[in-house]
Amino acid sequence: MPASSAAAAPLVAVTDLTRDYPGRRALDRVSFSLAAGTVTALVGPNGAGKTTLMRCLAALDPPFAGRVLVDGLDAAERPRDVHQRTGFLQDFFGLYDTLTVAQGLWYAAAARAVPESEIAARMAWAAAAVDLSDRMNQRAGTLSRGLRQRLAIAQTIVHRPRMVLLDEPASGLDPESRMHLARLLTDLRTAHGMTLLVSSHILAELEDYCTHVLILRDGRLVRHDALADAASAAPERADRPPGRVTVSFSDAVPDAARRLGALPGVASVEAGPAPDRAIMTLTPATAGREADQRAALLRALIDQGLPVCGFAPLQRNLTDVYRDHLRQPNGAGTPADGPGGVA
Amino acid sequence: MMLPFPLANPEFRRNLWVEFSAQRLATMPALLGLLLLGGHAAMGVEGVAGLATTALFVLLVLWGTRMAAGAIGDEIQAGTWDAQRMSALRPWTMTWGKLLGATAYSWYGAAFCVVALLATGRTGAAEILNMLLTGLTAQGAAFFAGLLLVRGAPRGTVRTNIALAQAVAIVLAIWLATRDWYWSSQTVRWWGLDLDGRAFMLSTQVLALAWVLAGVHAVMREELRYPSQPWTWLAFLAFAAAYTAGFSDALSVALWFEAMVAVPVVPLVVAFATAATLTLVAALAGPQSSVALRRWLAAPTRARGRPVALLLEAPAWSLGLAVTVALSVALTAVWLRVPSPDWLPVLVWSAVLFLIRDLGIVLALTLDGDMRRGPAGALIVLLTLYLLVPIALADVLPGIGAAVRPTWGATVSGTLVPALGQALVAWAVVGWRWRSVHAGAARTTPG
Repeated sequence: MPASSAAAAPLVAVTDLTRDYPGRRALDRVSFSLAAGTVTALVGPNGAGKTTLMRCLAALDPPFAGRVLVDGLDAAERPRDVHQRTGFLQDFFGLYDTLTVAQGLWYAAAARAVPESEIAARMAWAAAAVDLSDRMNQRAGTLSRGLRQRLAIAQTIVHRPRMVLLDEPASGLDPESRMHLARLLTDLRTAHGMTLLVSSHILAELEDYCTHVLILRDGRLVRHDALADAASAAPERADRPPGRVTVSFSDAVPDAARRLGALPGVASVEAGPAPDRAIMTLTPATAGREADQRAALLRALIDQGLPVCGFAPLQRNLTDVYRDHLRQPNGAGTPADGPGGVA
Repeated sequence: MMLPFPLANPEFRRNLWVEFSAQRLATMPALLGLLLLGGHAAMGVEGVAGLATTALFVLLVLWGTRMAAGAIGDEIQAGTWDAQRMSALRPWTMTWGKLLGATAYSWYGAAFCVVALLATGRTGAAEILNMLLTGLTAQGAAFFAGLLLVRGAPRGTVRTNIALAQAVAIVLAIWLATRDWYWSSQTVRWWGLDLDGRAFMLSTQVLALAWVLAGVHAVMREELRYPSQPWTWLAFLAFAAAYTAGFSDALSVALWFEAMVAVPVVPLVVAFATAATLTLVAALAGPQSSVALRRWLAAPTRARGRPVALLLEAPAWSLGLAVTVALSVALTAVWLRVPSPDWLPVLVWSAVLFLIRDLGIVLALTLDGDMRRGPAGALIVLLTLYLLVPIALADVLPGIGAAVRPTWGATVSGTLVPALGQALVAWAVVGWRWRSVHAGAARTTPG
């Protein structure tokens, strides 16, 4: 767990959150907390309960059981106060097409109780944040998909909420708009201290701006980690995955698997994506000695006279972590707020 | 700079932005002007007055109710309602901002019609005020019914529910118009008082509008996640029971019952019937979620520890049932002083059991079910029990009418016992539905 997230006070604390739909449990005793100033990726298969969780955090739907605290406020007891501290952009969001960007922002600010004297400044800030300042007089109905998404985000943050919930915000955006979105979300966290929970199926992009990951499956929380801990082996983690290295050769190496497997520190070898590549899984190294282990392996490869032209540690990314959890049997996984959890 | 009062309401202002454009501002007076000029050319001043009155009805009642009924449903379909629910707008601000904002264009047109009516001098100010009040009340009723029917309903049913809400509002407008026509030319006897018909009608209009707005406010509170409270519904039940009981006439009831009825009991009979009817309507109108019911029933448990929620979060039908039972007790107590007719308590308590049966039927067919087909199916079953069965089987089973619906001359074996049996069967079906909808969810105590 990174020191920064451990030191920060949790903005959101969820305890045994359970939410039922008729005949179906959408969330089953979910517990976690989100530190202030973090961006958490909320991932899981369709129907895992992501949207339901967001709606409960936004105090739109009451939980059947359990407790949600946002900024110290119980979402069941004081939902209106939670609304004021929250911005929520749903997957299926709507805009008033006949209103201009300025009118839409004015309405969002005024309806969220921004003082009248500050509305103009907030509108300008929100429009600048999403790069819509030059389109204030354009009608929402005439904006492209990406620009509509930006306007919706601007309306969501115009009252400067402490917590922002974004359900599939990158859905339907072109690559440039996605890059812009990533920059914006990073900026909301770093420059404005907002705490964000972002659900998306595009895991590679989440990795660009998220600090933590929260994986839901069948309504249960199966993992909640700082992203660095989840993607690589954190030194303090006893159950961290072993290191892996991919090696490329300039020529095909006969009997490569046997020769590589005999090298010191190599636990197993598997074929790479091409005949001149192989992936080696290393034996567990002493904490903090992973780099030394790799250097020794590279030396051994060259000493063996193998035509090495590429050598790189394989980083486990968010997609790998997510896939690992999907492969596990139902209900398996690291308990919420486990060793790598964000307490 | 401070905004003037109505425009300070963001919801009202947003609606004005949506509803008005330069083109629409010009179109309405142009069309109405041409219409009224045509009327003048054809029938002179009388034609103008007639057409202005018709246009006023069309704008406020036919068109205005559509806009009011869709004030929430359209937001749900557009995906903007949840954002509004999370706004800082208070229930009353949201209520009048939407009601007057969504219908603003119809009122814009109505203003031209009123000017034309005043200019013709054929329609008095009181009559115009009455028309405007009817229009506003109908729009309020459409807004209320629309809000009630679309919340929690699947998106696919929104259009149907908006149409239904508009139909309810138009029926109310027609009822108010016929009452006005009937009462304004005579005195009205209410709770033994002879009242001026026109003044009574105006009071009725104002009260109807006030209750419609109170209803919208109460439902809006729930939508905006303010704590639940049953007081508006309970107050309305008391008002409706007292209002209708004021018209009770011992002679009419005696003729209807074909028996002498103790005079003090008569208002209670009417109040009882009103409360029971409203209870059934409430059950048919509201979404019946087993999850919400479980959470409500768990209120007094140790896990939830909020016994007061048993009252505060009670479904409207359960409170209505409690009021109906309380009225039955009062009615029985009053009847004991002058026990005539002797079968009256059997009728009243069998009616309570039939109401319990009917609530069971509604719950069994609507619990977590299709918001459109469930209530419609329940309504068909109820109509079958109350109308079709007694008529169709009267020749074969002469006592069938008394066994399936409250009937004067009720007997313990012919009415009360069958009513009890049907109530038990209906609630056994509810129990079976209850178990089946929760088969997929694990047991967790609500908190």
